[in-house]
Formats: sequence, structure tokens, C-alpha cells
Amino acid sequence: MEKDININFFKPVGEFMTKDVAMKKKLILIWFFATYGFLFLLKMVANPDDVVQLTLNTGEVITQVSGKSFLTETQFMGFPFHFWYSAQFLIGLFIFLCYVYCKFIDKLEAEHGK
Amino acid sequence: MKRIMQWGLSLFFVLMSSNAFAVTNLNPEGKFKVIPALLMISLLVLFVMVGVFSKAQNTEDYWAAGRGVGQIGGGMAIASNWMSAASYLGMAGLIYLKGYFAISYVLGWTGGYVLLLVLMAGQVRRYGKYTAPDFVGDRYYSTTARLMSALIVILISFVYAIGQYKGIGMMFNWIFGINYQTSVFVGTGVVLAYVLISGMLGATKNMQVQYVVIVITFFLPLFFIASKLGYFSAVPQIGYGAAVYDIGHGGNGISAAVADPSYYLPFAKYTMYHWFALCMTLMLGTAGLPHVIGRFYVVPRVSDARWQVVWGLFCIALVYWTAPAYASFAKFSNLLGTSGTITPDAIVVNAAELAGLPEWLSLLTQLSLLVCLSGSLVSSQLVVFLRRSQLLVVC
Repeated sequence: MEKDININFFKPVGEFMTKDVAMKKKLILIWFFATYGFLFLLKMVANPDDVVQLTLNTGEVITQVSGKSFLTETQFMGFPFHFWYSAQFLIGLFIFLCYVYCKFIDKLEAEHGK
Repeated sequence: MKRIMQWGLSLFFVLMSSNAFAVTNLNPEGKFKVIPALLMISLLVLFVMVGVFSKAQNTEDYWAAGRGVGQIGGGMAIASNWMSAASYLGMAGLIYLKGYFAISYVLGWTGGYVLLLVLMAGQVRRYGKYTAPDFVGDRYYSTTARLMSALIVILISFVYAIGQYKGIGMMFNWIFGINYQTSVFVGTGVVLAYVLISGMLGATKNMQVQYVVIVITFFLPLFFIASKLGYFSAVPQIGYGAAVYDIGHGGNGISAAVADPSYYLPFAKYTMYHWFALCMTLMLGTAGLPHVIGRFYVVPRVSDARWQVVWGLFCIALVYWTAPAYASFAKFSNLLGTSGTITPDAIVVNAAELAGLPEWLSLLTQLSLLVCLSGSLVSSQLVVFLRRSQLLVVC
């Protein structure tokens, strides 16, 4: 029987995997904060006086900020800034992250003769 | 096993054509639209011809379509494989209804590719398993786990197919003026025949042609709509931004009284937690896509597969940068008080009509819808087929 080899993403072994995992962590961090960090930011900077009432699926009615802030009221290329950021810039960023990873791993594989 | 499949399929079609799924009749006069019908038929013929002339010689050709395709070609194939009625009709409709909240669909379906490329692709290839049930079964040393994951995948494929069949039903209803219930059956017949013919021929070349048709027909009406409504029409993908601003604040013919700020305000219709949960779910779901991950086994050099994913994401992004523009222009025309039917499901088709443009323009979007649907059905049939054989092996 083959011997089982334990490979753990969080305990990288060898130079190739260490570098690879470090890069992956960086990209995932950027991915997370660019997407969801911005969402949290929208909530944090929202004007507390501008509120809306919502009815949830459970029937509960809640009052929350509508999210109006300098991020939504500034115009960028015609867009409200947050709309442009989410609907256009982030998609571009995702493509860029994929591009960076492909370039990186191609180089790393060449260096390690894979 | 076979009997269960037959029962399931019959149940599926009975359900699909029942009133529970009935939608607004897009063609109440029951008018047979000659030009759309002719265009649709010629397009199908074109795809079959492409298939005939680029017939795959062997399995490797079938997937990689020879060496000449390259990374961009592969990316286009991934994109047309990925885009279904959901990307095409659903996304614009949702943005029209829910505004900024629905941008999470756009992000979920693109951001997932980052996860797929960075976290999944290498691992799955190293493990050498072709399907998700195979992977789960081997990873956890359990036939039960394998069976369960196969069943779940079949269930998901069914749910996925419902949306596609609804789209087909709507389209045949629009073109031929027959009622929705009949449309589902007629449409299914046509698409199945097409899938059977084209599926046996070269898949990749066909997908590329489909992608080009989708992009052209999806982009063209938008230039006319943008210029008709008085926005920057050279690049309507940027021009619609001002429309979003006007929807929320009034301007360009919309008075501040009828302006609808809930369209662009982030938390006007749902909470932040809704947004987060939806976007995260869609991203993780995208990362697990079988037909994209499948490319990582069949391409001889893994580097090629990775670059194909990058180009695929770019090709998808072209369409996803555009979909919110349709939604916003439709919303804008709606606030402007232009008369016209609004079916959120068919907002892409209605948008030109709403802006007061001639019918042949909405025809263009109909066409790319057809291409989208047949493309996604080819892939979903393929997936269902793969899963089925999987299950049979297990049983």
C-alpha cells in the first residue's frame, strides 16, 4: 500500500509550496477586503440620520441606515462612486488578481523545473 | 435506476409546464413573428454547420479543439459555457428590481473565479479525480459520501435546469405566440435536438462562435438605447453611470419627486448581512463549478488551463459589465414614464422597447438569449450525463 502523505495548506513544506501558499494568502486577503471590506466600510461611514424601514422575510420590521455617505454621493465617471466600484472596478480587480497569480505560478514552476 | 430517472423527468416536465411556473405572456396577441423565427432557425443552422466543419477527430481535440485555439479561444469557450439564462436575463432583471443589492450577483459570479484558480484548481488536479463525487468519495474513503454527493449534484442540476427551461419557454412564447406551457415542450424539443446534433460535433469551436454572437447581440442594442436616452453612448457601459445617478437624484427628464434613491443606496432594500451572505454563497458556488474545473484535467499543460480561466473571466466580465446597464436604462425609462410592458424576467428584451426603439433591436437580445440557453444546456446536459453515469457506477 502507498504511504499516505500529509499535505496541509497551513503547514507548507518546501520552498515551492511555501512561496505558493504565501502568494495565495496575499491574494485571498486582497480579494476578501476589496469585496467585503468595502461593504463594511459603506456601513461604517453611512450617515446615521438617513434611515429606512425594512420588512424582513420573517415579518420583523427593522430600521437601519440607508447607506447614504460621501461614498455614494460622490460622482465618478457619472456613477455614484460605490456603484462604479462594485459593478466595474471590482470585476477588473478580480481579473487582475487571476492574472497576477498565473504570472507568479508560471515563474515559480519554471524555477523549480515543474 | 432507469425508471427513477424517467419518473423524475416526467415529474419535472409536468411541474415546469404547470401554472406554478407560468409567467407573464410576452406575446398576448398570439402573433407569429416571422423574422425572429427565421433568424433563430438560421442561427441554429449556422452552429450545426460550424460543428460539421470543425468536427473533432479525437477526444483531445474535442476538449482542447486542437492546438490552434490558444488561451483566448479557450477563455471564450469557458465564458459561453458559463453564461446561461441567469447571467443573461436573471441578472439584469434582479438589478432592475433590487438595485445595488443585486450587484452582489455580478460580484459573486466573477469573484468566485479567483477562489477557483487560487485555491481549487491545483489541488483538484493533483488529486487526479474527474468529478466532485469521485473526489469526495476518495478523500473521505466512503461510498456513502460518494453516493450522497452524486445525489446532491443531480438535485442541483435539476434546479439549474428549471431556470433554463423557463427561459426557453419565455422565448418560444415571444417568437411563436403559443402559450407558455406548450412553449416549454416545443422549446425543449428544439433544444434537445440541437444539443444532440451539436454535442456530437466539436464543442469548443461552437462555444467560441456562440460567445461572439452573444457579445455582439448583447452590446449592439445598448448603443442605441444609450443615445436615445441621451447618455454617453460610445461606451454605454460607462454611460449608464449617469443614468444610475439620475435615477436616484432626478435629472435628465426625471423630476426629484419620482426619483428612486433605493435603486443605488446600498442598504435601502436589504441589510448588509443579506448582501454578505448572498455574495459569499455565490462565490463559493462558482469556485466549485464542474465544467470549469473539468478543464484542468483535460488540458495537457496546467499552465494553459490557468490562462484559459483568466481569459474566461475576462470574457464573462465583458457581459457582466454590460448587464447592469440594461437594468439601469430600463429603470430610467420606467421612471420617465415610457409606456411598454415590463417583465423583470425579460428586462433585457424589454429595455429597447421601453426606450422607444423599434422591435428589431429587442430581437437582437432575443437571439443572444437563444445562444446563451442552448450553450448552457449543452453544458448542463453534459454535467447531468456525467453525474448520471457516476451514480450508475456507484449503484
